[in-house]
Amino acid sequence: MVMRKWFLLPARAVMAALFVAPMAIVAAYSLLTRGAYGGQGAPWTLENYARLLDPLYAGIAVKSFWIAGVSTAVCLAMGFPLALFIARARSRKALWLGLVTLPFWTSFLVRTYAWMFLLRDTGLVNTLLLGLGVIREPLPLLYNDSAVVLGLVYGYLPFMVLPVYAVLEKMDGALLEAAGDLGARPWEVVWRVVLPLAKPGLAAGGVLVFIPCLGAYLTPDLMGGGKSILIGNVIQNQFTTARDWPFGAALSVVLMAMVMALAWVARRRGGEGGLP
Amino acid sequence: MRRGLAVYAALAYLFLHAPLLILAAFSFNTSKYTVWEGASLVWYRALWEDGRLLEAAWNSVLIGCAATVLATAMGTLAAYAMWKRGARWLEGAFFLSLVTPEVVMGVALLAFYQWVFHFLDVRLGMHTVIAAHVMFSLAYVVVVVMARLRTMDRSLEEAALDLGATEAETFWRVTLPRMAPAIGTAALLVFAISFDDYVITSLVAGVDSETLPMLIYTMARRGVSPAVNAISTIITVAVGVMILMAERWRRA
Amino acid sequence: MAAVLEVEGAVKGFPGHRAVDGVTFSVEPGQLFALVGPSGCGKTTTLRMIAGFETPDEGEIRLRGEPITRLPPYARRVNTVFQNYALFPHLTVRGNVEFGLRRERRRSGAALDMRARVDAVLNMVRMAEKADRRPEQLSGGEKQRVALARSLVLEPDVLLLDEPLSALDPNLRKQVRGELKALQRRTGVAFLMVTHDQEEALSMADRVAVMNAGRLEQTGSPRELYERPRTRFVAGFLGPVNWVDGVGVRPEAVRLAGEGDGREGLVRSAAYLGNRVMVEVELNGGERVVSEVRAGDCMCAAGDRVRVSWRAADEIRPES
Repeated sequence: MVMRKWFLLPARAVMAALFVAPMAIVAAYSLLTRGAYGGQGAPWTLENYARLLDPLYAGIAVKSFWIAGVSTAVCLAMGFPLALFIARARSRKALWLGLVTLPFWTSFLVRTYAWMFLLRDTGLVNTLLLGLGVIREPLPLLYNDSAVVLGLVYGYLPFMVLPVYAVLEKMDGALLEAAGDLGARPWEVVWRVVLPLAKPGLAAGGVLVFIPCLGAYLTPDLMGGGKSILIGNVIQNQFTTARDWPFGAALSVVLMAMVMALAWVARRRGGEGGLP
Repeated sequence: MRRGLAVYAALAYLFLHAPLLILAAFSFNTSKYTVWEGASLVWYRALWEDGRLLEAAWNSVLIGCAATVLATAMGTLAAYAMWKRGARWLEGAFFLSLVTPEVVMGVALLAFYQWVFHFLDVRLGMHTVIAAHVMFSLAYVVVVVMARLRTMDRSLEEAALDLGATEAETFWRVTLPRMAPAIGTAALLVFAISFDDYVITSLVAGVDSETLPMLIYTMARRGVSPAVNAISTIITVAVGVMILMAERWRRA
Repeated sequence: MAAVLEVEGAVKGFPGHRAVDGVTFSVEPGQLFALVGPSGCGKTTTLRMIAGFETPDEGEIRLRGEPITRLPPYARRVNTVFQNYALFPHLTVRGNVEFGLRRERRRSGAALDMRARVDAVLNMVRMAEKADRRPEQLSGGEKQRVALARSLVLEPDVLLLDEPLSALDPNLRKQVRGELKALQRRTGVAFLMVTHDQEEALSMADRVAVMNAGRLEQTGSPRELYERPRTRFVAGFLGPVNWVDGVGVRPEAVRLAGEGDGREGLVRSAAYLGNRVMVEVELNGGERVVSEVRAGDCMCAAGDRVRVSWRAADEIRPES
C-alpha cells in the first residue's frame, strides 16, 4: 500500500523531532558540565550521576518511591471495592462507571485546587471545625506528605478502577455462587475467589497509578507546598531556578529509566487489562 | 455484603465529587473568605473584567483547538497505517511518550527548543506550546482510534476494493466513516488534555503565551480567591457539557 | 423413611411473572430425583431456592426436617453442580476440590485429613492423575467430574445438579448418564437433578417430577408418569401421544392390520427409521394417528387402507 508511508509521515516527523530528539538531548546534557552562568558544555563527565548518591538526593528518590507506593496501595484498597460494586451492580453500570471517569475529564489542576480550598489553614474544613469549637488552632492539613498522597489518590483513582472493573466485569457470576455453595462466607468469596481473579486488573491498575505518581510534579508542588519534595520537583527546579541543567538531565534520565523498567515489566507480564 | 459495598461506594463517590461541588458552591459566595455570606455572581463579574484572565483563556482555547486539529488528524492517519501493518519504532515511541513523566517531557522539550534556537531566530511562544501539545496528545489519539479499528472487520475494505473503489476512496468512504466516533472521542480527549496541561506548558511557554492553567496555578499559589473557584467552575461545567454533547452525538 | 429434602408450597416471583407458583415435593435419602420441564418452567429457580441463591416469597424448605428457607448458601449442607460447572480458573483440580474443605478443617481442628479425603474423591471420579491441572486444560467430561468431586467431598445431604449433561458433547451424554447414576448409587447421596430432557429424566431418575409454568404437574416413578400421566401436558412432554376422542395412546401402542377389528384409515405417510417405521394414518373421521411399528411388522405404504387398534390397557386417560 502506497498511502501507508504518507499516512505515517507526519506522526513520525513529530515523534522524531519532539520526543526522540529532546530525550536524546537530555541524555547528552546529563553527561556535560554546568557552565558558570548556567548552560552546559565540555568536559564530558559522570559527575552529575555521582551527585545522585548524595544523601539529600538519594533520600528524595527513596521518598518518591515511598509516596508513589503508598498512593498506589491506597488506590488499590479504595479502587478494588469500588470496581467490585460497579461490576456487581444490577443496573446503571454505565452511570456508575461514568461517575468514576468524570473527574478524570475535568482539569487536574482544578481538582488539586479543590482540595487546597478544603484543606488549607483558612479552608473549609478548618473554618468549620473552628466555627464548631472542635479545635482552637487550624489543623495543618495541607502542605505535608499525607496531603500529597491524598492528592495523588484523588487524581489517579480512576486509573485503578477501570482495569479492575474490566476484569471483574468478565468474571462468571456462577463462580461466586459456587464459592458460597461450597461454604465460603461473603468476605471469603471476595478473598479466595474475586481477588485472585482480579489480579491482572490490579497489577495493570497498580502500574498505571504508580508510574505517574513516581514522576508527579504538580501535586507535591501545590499540596506539599515545598515541604514534600519529590524527584519531579527537583528536576523542574534544576531546569528553572537552580539552572543546573546537566544535573536535572541526569535526574531525568534516572527517573525515565525507572519508569521504563516498570512499564517494560508490566508490558511483558501484560495479558488481560495490561497497558496498551 | 452487597449493602456494605453500596455504602462504601456512596462514600467513594462522595470523595470523588464532593470537593468539586463544594468548590463550585463557594464560587457563588459573596464573601472573599470561606464563610457563607449569601449568593451572588460578584466573582464571575470580576472574571469578566480581568483582562489578563481573558487573554489566558483565549490562549488556552487557541492552543487547544490547534492541537486538537493537528494531533487528531496526524494520529488518525498514523493509527490507520499502523492497523494495516505495524510500525515498530513509532509504536515504541508512542508507548514511551505515554509513560514519560510530564516534568521530564517538559524539561526535554525546553532543552530541545533552546538548542534549536541556537540555529534559528525563534523564541518560546504559542507555537512551541502547540507543538508540544500535538506531540504528547498523538499517542492518546492513536490508542483511542486503534481500539476502534481493532473491532473492525478487515473484509469491509476488501469488499470495497472488490467493488472497484480505489484505495483512497475505500479509506474515505468506508473506513473513515466507521472510525468517526473514535475520532470524535480522540479529539475531545486531546482538547481536554491540552486545555488542562500545566506542567509541560509552563516550561515551554513564552512571555506572550500564558495559558489558563498557568494563571490558575499562579493564583492558587498566591492564596485563596473565590475568583479561582469561579474559573474552576466554568471550566468544569464547560468540559462536562462538552462530554455530554459528545456522548449524545455518538449515540445518535 | 423420612425425607431428606422437603419443599413445601414454594413461591417465587420476579418482576413481571411468577417463576415458581406453589411447588411441593420431597426427596428420599439415596434417591435420584429429577425435576423436568420445558425451559422457563421454574425448575432452575426451584433448584436455586434449595441451594440458597434465591429466597422464596412463600413456602418452606426443610433439610433433614430442619427449615433452611432463609439460610445463606454457605450455611446449607446442600451443594450444587453448576450447569457450566463454575470451576475456579485460578485453582488446580485439587485446589478446587479442597475449596470447601478448608473451612471444615478450620472448624473441626487438625483432625481431618484433608489430603486423604481429596485423594479418595478424586480417585472415585477418575481424576487423580490430573489433580494438578488447571480447569482450562480439562475436557468437558473431566470438568464435570471435578465439579462433582468438589461437591461430593463435602458429603452434602443433597447434591443439586443443574442440567448436568447440557454442557457436554451430545455423543458423550448417553455414556455419562450411566456414570452419573453409578456414582450416585456408590455414594448413596441423594441427587436432585434439573433437566429439560425427558429421556434423561426417565432413564436416570428413581423419581421424576414434571413441572410446567411454575407448578408441579405430577410426581412419580418414570414408569408411572409415562404410562399413567395425569395431565395432557405430562403425557405430551414425556413422549409423543395420539389424542383420539379425548383418549391418548402412544405411537408404539397403536397396532396396524390389513383387516379385522379397529377403525379404518388411510396411510398418509410411512417414514422408515431403520429398526422401526413411523406410519401416519388418517382415520375415517379425519383424525390423524401415528403408529410406531417394528420394521418387519408392517409393509404399508402411503395410500394403503389399514385397520387401526390398541389395547384398552394402553389408553391414557388424563384427569385434565
